[in-house]
Amino acid sequence: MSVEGRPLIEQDLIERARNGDVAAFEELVRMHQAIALRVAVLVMGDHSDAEDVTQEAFVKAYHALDRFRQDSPFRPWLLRIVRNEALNQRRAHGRQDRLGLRLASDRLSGDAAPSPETVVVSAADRESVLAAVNGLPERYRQVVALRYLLGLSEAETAETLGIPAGTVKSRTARALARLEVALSGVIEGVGHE
Amino acid sequence: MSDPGRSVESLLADLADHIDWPEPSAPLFELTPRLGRPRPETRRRHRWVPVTAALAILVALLLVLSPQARKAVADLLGVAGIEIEFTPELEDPVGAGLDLGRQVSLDEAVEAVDFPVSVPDQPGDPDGVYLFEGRINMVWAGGERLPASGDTGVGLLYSQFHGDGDAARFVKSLGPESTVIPTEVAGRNGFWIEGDPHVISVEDASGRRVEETLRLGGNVLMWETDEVTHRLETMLGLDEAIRIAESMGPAHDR
Repeated sequence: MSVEGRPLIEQDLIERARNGDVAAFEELVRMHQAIALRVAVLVMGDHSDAEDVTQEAFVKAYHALDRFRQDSPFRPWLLRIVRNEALNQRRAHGRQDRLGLRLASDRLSGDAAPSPETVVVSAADRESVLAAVNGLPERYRQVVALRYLLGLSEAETAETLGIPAGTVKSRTARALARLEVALSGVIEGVGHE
Repeated sequence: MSDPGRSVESLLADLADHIDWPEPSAPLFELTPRLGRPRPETRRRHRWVPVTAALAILVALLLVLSPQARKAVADLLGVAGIEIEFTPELEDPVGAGLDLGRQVSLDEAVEAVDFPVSVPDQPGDPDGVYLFEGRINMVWAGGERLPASGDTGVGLLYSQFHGDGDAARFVKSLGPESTVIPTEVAGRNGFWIEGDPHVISVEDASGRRVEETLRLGGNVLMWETDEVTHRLETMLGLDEAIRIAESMGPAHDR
């Protein structure tokens, strides 16, 4: 029996993990750990504690495998647990909802030839885009971050946030409209190369 | 526009390539030592068996002894400083008869679910916490400020579980005597249902209709936060129910 959209190998690993095969679950962890950690960073606001949160979430996910519905996609189910664990920890530590993403300093800076679809963006413009995203209200910021920064689909974003797909769609549209206003100078190339 | 290739989406795509994400460090995901244990539910059940058995023997022993002998036994067990009140029959914990699930501690409940758990600031810590398939039920004993429902002894029942974030889809049908009043809880849409509804039909995240049995036969306040559906059952009126609902805070802070 194959579940549409889920690789057979993942399905097999889930089934084995459910039966107590720890090695199978660790393989699942390896497949999803990078994006899980990013979701934790998005909720926690920065890198600190994100690893602890992610690890805790994986342990919870392992013990919750019985509740995972075999006919639904695994990744957003897992990311939802990560996000909720991060929300719990954030509240426990009395942290504000803020996003302190940083730009990597040493990647793609001039040495990589952009593909035809890639726009050329100066470092200063990129900082403006990041500031505009950081400045969105949380309900918009989370949707934009999951959709565009982590590359989740609309359905995955909905499942991860625990909201209907229609809400993701409308929030995305409103968030993009806000960004369009906030970044009108950058979009039109005013003041920068 | 001087650069027709620039759109918000393309700027976000560029940003995505340049975020400084953390890399998972190797030791972080060596989970084997933590995963090798039995699943928590099994473990907890087993852990409590000897404790429960020992308590049952102790209680039986105390009940058949004279007051002096009881004191001697209590002293012997090193619990002389604790006042033990003997009642003719052992009372069930608050809410025990309502079929609310397995009784757990608040910490266990928080541990067992994958959503952020709330506890109201008033009326204070719950008198009983129950867990049933990912749903947390908290009960408070009836009292002067919390009128109890019938003979249940329960004055307030608060349930929380995964929701789909859209309160407007909540309530599908009610008995003919019940009325639904749209309301707001801390800016979120909610419903106040009056008139002794026993069953309400709600739609879950996947669009499936679920019959929800109500326990107290009082009034119901339902609302949703981002990912959690909250339900209060109470004999209190709307204003007081909203006051309780708006006093919710994260369980971790307690």
